Amino acid sequence: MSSALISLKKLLIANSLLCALLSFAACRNIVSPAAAAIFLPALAASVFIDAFGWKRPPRYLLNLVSVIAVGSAMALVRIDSVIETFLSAVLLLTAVKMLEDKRARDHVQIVILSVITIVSAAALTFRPEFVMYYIVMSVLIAQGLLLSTLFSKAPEMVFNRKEALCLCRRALAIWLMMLPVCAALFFAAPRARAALTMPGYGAGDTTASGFVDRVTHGLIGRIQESNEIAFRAETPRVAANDLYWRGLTLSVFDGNEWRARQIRGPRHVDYAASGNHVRQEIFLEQGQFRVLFALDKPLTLDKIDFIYASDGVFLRSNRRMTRQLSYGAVSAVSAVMRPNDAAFDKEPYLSLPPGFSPPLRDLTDGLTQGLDERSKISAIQGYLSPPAFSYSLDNLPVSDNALEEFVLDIKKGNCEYFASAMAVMCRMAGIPSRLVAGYRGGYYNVSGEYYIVRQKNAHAWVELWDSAEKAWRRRDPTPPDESVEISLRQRETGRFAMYLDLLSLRVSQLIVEYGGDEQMELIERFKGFLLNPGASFQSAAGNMKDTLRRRALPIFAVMIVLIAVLLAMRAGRFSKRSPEAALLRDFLSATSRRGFTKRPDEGLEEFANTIPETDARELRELAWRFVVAFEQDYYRDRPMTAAKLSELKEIVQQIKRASKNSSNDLL
Amino acid sequence: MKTVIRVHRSGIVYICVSIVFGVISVNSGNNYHYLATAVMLGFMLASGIAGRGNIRSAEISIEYPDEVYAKTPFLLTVEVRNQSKRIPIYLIEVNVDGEKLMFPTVAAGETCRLRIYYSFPRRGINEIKDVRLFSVYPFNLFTRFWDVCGDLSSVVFPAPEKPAGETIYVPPEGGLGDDAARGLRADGDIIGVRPYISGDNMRQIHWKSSARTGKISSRVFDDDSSGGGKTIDLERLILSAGKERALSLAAYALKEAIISGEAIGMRGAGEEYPVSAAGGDKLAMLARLALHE
Repeated sequence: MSSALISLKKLLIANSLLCALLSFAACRNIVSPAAAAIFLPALAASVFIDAFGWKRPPRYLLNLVSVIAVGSAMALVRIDSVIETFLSAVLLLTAVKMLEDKRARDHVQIVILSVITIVSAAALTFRPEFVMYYIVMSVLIAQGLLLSTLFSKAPEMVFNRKEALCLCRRALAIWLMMLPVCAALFFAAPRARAALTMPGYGAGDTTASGFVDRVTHGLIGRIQESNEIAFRAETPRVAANDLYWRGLTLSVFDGNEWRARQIRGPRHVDYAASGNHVRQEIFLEQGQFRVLFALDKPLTLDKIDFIYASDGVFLRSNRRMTRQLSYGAVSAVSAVMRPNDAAFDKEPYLSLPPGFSPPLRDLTDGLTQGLDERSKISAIQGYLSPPAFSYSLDNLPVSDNALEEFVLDIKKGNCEYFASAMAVMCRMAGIPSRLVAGYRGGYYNVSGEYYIVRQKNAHAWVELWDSAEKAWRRRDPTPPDESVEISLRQRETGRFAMYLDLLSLRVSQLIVEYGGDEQMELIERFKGFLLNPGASFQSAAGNMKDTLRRRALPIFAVMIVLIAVLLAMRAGRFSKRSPEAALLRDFLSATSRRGFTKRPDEGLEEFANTIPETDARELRELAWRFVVAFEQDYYRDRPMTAAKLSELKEIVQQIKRASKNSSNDLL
Repeated sequence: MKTVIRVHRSGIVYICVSIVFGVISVNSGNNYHYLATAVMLGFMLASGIAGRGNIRSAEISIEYPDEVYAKTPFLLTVEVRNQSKRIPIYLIEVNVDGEKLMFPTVAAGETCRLRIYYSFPRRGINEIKDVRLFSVYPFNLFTRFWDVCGDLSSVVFPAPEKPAGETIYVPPEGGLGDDAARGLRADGDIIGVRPYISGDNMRQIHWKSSARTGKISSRVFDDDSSGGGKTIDLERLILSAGKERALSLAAYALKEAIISGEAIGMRGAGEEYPVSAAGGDKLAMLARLALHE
């Protein structure tokens, strides 16, 4: 059977193309739009040139473009965007290389440029999907370097499908050999305690955040539709009504915008909360804010250098992130926060711009006149409730009088409008109030026992001063929204997506967050193993047992998938066999079941002769009938006719039936 | 067998890039940079292991033709056998005295051969001194090589020279004359079977016996040692033409006899080779000439 030949050159071009595409995928959000706009058409043109023999641009022109790309990059570079500019230039150089008539070394250069692109892009982001880029890229490196080596020595080489696959398997084998070395080096390489950073390092490719450090009406409505993950929190399940992730407290209102007070915070939390204490491990996605989130009311944070900035707000000390951020937090899950100093200055929490919105003040006065504090709050919240008011992310009021417009006219808005309106109206009614920006809800991943909190969970609520209790009490005036409610009902994501997310988290924990502390822990464990191997084994066995118990379902699923893949591969191998070979296999298996196994060096006739006439006359006759009929065609390289095949199959069936009968006799 | 590694320019660039990545990793503390460095270094080691395995699976042998004459180019066969039963080997390069032969791929368990023209300047036992096995597999960063050891020698016959009137043969002594001897071929009665000697005519092979014993055997005819045909008189030739020329003239006569299939014998230098039409006997006579003191 003849098969189409594949040239080495084509294999190599395909590999280089994949490298270029992968590098683009890794830096697509970082490079300038102009670089992206040039790169993709250039890549498409290179495909047409290589596949259909289109005229190639002259080399001097390509060299000129390369010089211009590098020159422009150097001219346009800014101190805060060195890496972005560098990446754009490297991407353009890759495109130019793809357009060239590629020799072996050009292919190697494309591989190197792609590696540089991904490594440079990794300087700006800590997303776990980069691990996937690295895995795919390393396979392409192995393949690209191997193929270009062959290409340099034998450029005209062609392969059939089997040989091409064999070559790919060799590249894969080298990649597999690399893995343990890579893992050992990665975990053993010394980690610096204080890493140096360059401008823009770790600042790029940040997710559009639903969370804001100041609330301006109508600005984040669109972002609240984003499905990007804000953070994950490993913690036991918490009641849906308590799922408020505190971020920033905003106390200053200038008429249109809420922002945090500039105060020098105490060194430790200055309040108490009486709810259940819940421990959380927070894995924060890359973002531009320094705020550290935790379940409302956070009491303490650990495993991170942080600053407590008063009002229940924690900030990270380092302005730049050099790796994925994770920290521990303990919160008292409660709606009430009791300041240690109950006689603190309440004036800032009652402050409004002079002459702010008389119609709103009139409305508030009308609602709250003659009522006590609690009734005032209920009246205001009751006024902002459905059916008069409803949740919406569309047609939000954005004028200078947005709040007034919302309360008196449109009566539709998102959490910011409701929280802002309630806080302002409470201040008008003489009740100290403040806004809290954070997240509400989240999807609980049962397998990983953690919450996934997405940008769309971004939320704002109010805290009102309860003068009777001398405490801040949480109030959430936002009416329920279907999307938020779905998230709260915790039926958002499919099971498969849940496992994928768990995998992503574990990868992130293992690779992205690995640092000096983890390295020390690893060394300690290794030392422990050397000193007391028995205890280490016992502990490992216990952990494994626990993992098996907790993760029985995913482990079972993975095993089923593996078995299915193995069976499919086996079936594929057998299906490739000729019917004659399959028949012979069946025949030998049937005779073997009767206790007569053919030796590898034995001929078929020789084998048939070994079946004794006295004990197994019928089997011997059947075997001889099979062998004679089989040899007539098989050893003459003649394909068997359908009739012959069915005749031989019938003989094999007879042998099998005889085998069954003899087993029954024995029983 | 000691494998030597030489770093290419591309290998130096690769090492430098790895070092740069390493420095960036330590300075930035970014785990993705650590990962990149680990991948680069991991590939370096993996390529070393793969390259070593590749070159170790290759077995080189040099095959000389049956007749190698001094100063006469001959086809030297360089053979690369893949000792692995499952994995092909790639990019094996064999350097024979500066002549490079490339074997892009050798399938599992297979043997590939390439031939080059080669010549030795002198008769006697000669050896190709510089046979070296190279491979840049898998990444063209490093070249691994070793000098092929083992017996690479060959007996080189004297350079054949056509006689210019010199008397080469022993004068006929009546009985079976030149003409009769010329008619003798390996087609008389079979008187026995002996192991095959390189140079024996294909018609001489006793196929049945070869099949039975598994070793190639040649038939011995009753006229193999009949004493008919021409006999080279080496001693007289040396006296008349000088040693080296005499050896060359005798080699010429024997070469011609091999081509024509005529029976021929030789005497002199203390030994006597009876007249024989068997190729193996003629090669033995040529070897005697090659090793003549």
